[in-house]
Amino acid sequence: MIHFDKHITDNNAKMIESITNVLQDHQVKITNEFNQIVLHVSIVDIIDILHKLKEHKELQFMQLVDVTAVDYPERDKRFDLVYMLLSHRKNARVIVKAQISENEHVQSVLDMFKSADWHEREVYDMFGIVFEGHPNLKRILTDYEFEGHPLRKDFPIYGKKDMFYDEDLKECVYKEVELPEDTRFYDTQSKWTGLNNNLDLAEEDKPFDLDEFVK
Amino acid sequence: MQDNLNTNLPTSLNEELNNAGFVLTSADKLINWARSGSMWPMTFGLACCAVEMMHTGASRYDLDRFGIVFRPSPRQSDVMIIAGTLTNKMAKALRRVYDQMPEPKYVISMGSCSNGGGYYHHSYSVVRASDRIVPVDIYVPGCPPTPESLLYGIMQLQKKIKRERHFSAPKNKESK
Repeated sequence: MIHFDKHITDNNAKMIESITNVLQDHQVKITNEFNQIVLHVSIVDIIDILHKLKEHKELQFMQLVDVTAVDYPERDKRFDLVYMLLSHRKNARVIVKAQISENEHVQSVLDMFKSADWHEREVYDMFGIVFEGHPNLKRILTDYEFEGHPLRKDFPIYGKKDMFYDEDLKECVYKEVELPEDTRFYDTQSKWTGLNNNLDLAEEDKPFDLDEFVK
Repeated sequence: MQDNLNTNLPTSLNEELNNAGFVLTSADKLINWARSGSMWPMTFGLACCAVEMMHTGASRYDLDRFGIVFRPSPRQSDVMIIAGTLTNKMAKALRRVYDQMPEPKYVISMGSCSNGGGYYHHSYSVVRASDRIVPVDIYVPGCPPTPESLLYGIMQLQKKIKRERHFSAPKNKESK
């Protein structure tokens, strides 16, 4: 299934055609979102697809720019695993998305893309997605004894532990979080504190209208 | 006897030296003068505050004129300027560096993040105030503080050091 946004460059339209041809054996949904090519694929054949995207002569997505994930806790397969690829030769980028559940593992792409090493470690750290075949899959950003995966939606934003120096033990220790002040919730609909306030613009702040100017 | 032995000295001091050949002061004042005149900070830049700290050290604000020289080793330092966001992972390293500094040692907490968590107060990975890890002498507010603010904080620390009493501690009052 192919769905086009209005705005797409010729190059990207051509790339979508080539990708459709190359990946015709797989079940892939290709969309164009704001002139970015997005492939929605199944987690089972994601390694095959990444391999084809990299090695096919028409595509040559040789560089893995980023691996990340998105958490949708209400879904059965709660994570979107996102791979972002760049083809220097064809001057194109592509985003590959696959849904994956909490208990599923995914094969590491480290042997295909060297840059996947730290990206996969970060995804493991932040979301707890396990990459099979990764030689050094341990936390990369958070503290060594950190518990939980902070970018999961069910992780408390304040964290679970606070660090203090213990005078008796002469070392830094973790204690349970105790905040002296309650969480502040902001009224996002309010005209004054909200994010989408539609206060009327002053005359001089109105956006410049070229057509009116030319008239 | 010459009228002016050393023209760089203030006249009153010069006169005293001319008349008696020596100057009298208290041991406290001498020690405090020496300590406040050469506070060597441990270079501990953690975030954007470190850039302002570098500005303070560079030619425009010029910490050298206060006898302040950044040291690359805690064992040669008297002051630690915590310049930036202190994370949980870094806290242990910070405490270790602090422990390695010889006495007497002072800590300047620079910027909102270090003073009380600041922008990252509600984060899961940031120490909500660096005085949970080390005892802080001076808090410099700002996000980040301007070089002037840091300089002012350093001068406040000098004042604090000059108030210390080592030999003549007033009774019933705890000296630092």
